[in-house]
Amino acid sequence: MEEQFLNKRLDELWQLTQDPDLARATRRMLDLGTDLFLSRKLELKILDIRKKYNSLSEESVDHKEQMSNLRAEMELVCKEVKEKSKVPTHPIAINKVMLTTQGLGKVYEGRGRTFRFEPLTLELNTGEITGVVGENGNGKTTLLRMLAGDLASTSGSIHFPQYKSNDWYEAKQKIGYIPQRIDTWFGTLLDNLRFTASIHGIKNDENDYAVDYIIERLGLNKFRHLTWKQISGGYRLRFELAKVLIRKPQLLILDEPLANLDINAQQLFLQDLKYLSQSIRHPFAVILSSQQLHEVENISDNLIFIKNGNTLYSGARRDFGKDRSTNCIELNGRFEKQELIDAISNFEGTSVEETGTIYIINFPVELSPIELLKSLLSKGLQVGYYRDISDSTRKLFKKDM
Amino acid sequence: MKNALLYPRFLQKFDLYLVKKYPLIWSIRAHYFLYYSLLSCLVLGGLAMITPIGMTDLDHHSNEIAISISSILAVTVACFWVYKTVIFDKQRQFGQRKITDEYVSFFLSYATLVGMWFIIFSYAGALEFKRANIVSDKELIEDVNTANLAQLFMIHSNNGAYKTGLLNGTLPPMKDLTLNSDYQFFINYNLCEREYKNGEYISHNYIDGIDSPMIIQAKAYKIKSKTEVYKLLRSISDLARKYDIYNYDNNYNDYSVWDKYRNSDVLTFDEMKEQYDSSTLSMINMPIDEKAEIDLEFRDDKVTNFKHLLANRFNEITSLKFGHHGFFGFESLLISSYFLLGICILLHIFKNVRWRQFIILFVVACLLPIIYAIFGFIFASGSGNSAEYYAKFCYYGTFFYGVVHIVLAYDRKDYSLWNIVGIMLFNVMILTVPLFTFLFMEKDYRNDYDNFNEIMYTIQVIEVGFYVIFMLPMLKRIYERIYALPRN
Repeated sequence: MEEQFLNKRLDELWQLTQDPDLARATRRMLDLGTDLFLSRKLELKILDIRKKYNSLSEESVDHKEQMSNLRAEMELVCKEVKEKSKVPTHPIAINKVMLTTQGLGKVYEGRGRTFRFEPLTLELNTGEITGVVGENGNGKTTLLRMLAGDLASTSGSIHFPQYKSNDWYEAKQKIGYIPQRIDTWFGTLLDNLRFTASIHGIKNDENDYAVDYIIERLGLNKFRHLTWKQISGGYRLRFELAKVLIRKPQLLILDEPLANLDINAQQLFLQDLKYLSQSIRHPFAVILSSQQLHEVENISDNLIFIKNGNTLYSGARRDFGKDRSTNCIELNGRFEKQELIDAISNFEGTSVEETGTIYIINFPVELSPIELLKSLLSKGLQVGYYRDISDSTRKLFKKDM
Repeated sequence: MKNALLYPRFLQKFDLYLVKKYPLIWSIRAHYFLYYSLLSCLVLGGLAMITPIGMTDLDHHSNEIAISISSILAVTVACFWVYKTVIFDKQRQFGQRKITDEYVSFFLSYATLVGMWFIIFSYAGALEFKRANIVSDKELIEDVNTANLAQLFMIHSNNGAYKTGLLNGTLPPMKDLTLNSDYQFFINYNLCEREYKNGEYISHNYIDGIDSPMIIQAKAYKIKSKTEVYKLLRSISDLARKYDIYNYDNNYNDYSVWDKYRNSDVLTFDEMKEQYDSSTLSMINMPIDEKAEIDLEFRDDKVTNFKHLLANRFNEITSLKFGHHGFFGFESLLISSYFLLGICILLHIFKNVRWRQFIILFVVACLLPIIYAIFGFIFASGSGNSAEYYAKFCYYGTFFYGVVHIVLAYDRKDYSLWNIVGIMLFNVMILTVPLFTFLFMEKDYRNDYDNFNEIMYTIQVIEVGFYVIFMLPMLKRIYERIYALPRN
């Protein structure tokens, strides 16, 4: 079993080292280093490879030769890992229940307005990502703050099955919460990481390694001596993530983490989240809210859709839209609404909704989205964008738009 | 690149060591701020050492400007420290906090505050040291003795000798430090207790209840010739020049006795000599000669100016030498240290609060003295007992503080009695600090406090000990739990 795991990871690494860019390969190699019980010497070797990669990639010049040397070095280390590593025989099980809620609700009252977050029962497991989606002001942040212990609930309860008592102080040691508006921090990024690691029991040499690891893993090397004012919003978030991850949380709560990230950074961030949350030695549960619906859906194992404080959907991502009676696509292009209606008029049970610059077409499940697209193209419609949202929470947004 | 003076290598290394091993202590940043305080003290002390001073700059009232300026620096450093590390330290996360670290960080906070407190006095203190050593001890004693010989020419001499710190008995009995004067003078000298032993008069002065015996070397001294009179006149004139009596300038109030003398003529040696020569009186057998008394009457108008001003100067110097620095006395330091302890405890409360809570509590803290005063005025009016008045301040202050904390606890959805009682107890202690400080000051006006100091110090030690041993661990736990609770 252990050998199988190791071989699988090494194969994955092997594949990644064949990429011209070693970014992902070096990152995954670091992850492998933390998943296995390696000697400190070997761990440092892996870290060194990543450091080399980071310093090469920071320079704008082409480093083909150095990259191929690095690739060769990686292969050597992989061999060494295979020979010397020890796979954890009793890894912390993924899919362990970290947090459960029973009828968790909140009522805000004041100035003639009442907002109710209707009771929600929820379960968060380690190694799984739960995406919270919904329109603005519908209760996503309220839910996340309640789960993080930042906001008291009006009804219901939160339990941490892993802990003996339901003490928030104990729980908060293991909860990493990154709010929408990150608090200002003082000093350099490096000092902050050292402090965070140290106060959570990672001291002396271990502290050095943990800080170096997280800085290199998240590509923060060139920012290590910078302060809050000297880095951009996107990197502040990555730094917050580093600060939270360094203490090896068991539950990570992220409120709109993608808001300040560009498209590449979003992809990288989500990929990192996926990889790191599924660590074999330190898996953690993730719950995040975002307006980047498709990105969140792509990465999430579970979804929660909230509308006006009501949870319209809470369950596995793969189960959403399973029992649907209609398919749904969104599209736009160089055509008028009437042209679109005309183009689909030959299909029964179809309807078109216009939401800003996008059209949403509902049609029977018997008709596949591919067939519909083919039909539209055959009728000469210049489709610029076409997405199947039949099993996406996107369709839950459309009604009131 | 970091400034080598502000971030020296050894401090950087120490900083790294602390952050990796003792994060809680590191987060106090005491190492940096103690270093900055030391640096500030050295710079200000150095400035004081190169500041030229003369005999006319001995009065410590001139320290006030230096202290005010240094205070601004100290308060700025303190505010910066509080802002950066204690109150708004967002790095304070829910980590592992050993109680020993909590103790150390508490005491380091205190040490840091004390360090900053020293900034206030570093310039003035160094200047005081310089002033105190403007003449050496030996030189001063010689000059006092010389002046005492001239004392013979001055009637209405009250105590007869220069009443300086040397005579005030703060020194242990040492012959060399005593003053020589005329035997007759000592016969008439009204000392509180005096005994004659081995040809010497021993005076017992009781200062703060402590017997401080002095040996007065009583010798008969008779002026035998005119030359000797001139010599004395010369010596007093030299002293006047040395101690800058001719330019006497001091900040005495208009009603001060010195003010009268300052404004009168002070004679030079030649003037004195001229006046003395014009006198028909013989100086032989002075001052026991009756005729001499008449002669002395004449000199009282003029020469005694020297006496008083010189005595005043001696007093200034000796008081500096004996540590009577105004701001630097033991009592003022004790009160300061207690005051700083109070602040440190308050910081310990505030260190976990957020901006909004801090602002509320800050406003409360500003209003608190006013509220104390109002309550105190209402409830103590008519009693005329200031201690009771103050105790009532504290009582209602405690009540008010309790209410503030209940509000805080409510904000965190925690009504547990235990938390509130703990915080109340804590604050009772804080508020007893000014009470005892007040009593400490009060004792100066009462003579019936025989064992006052012992009682008060014991109470203070118990109080601080109680806080450190019992309250700190308990509060640590309470605050951790309270601030971890979700807010409403």
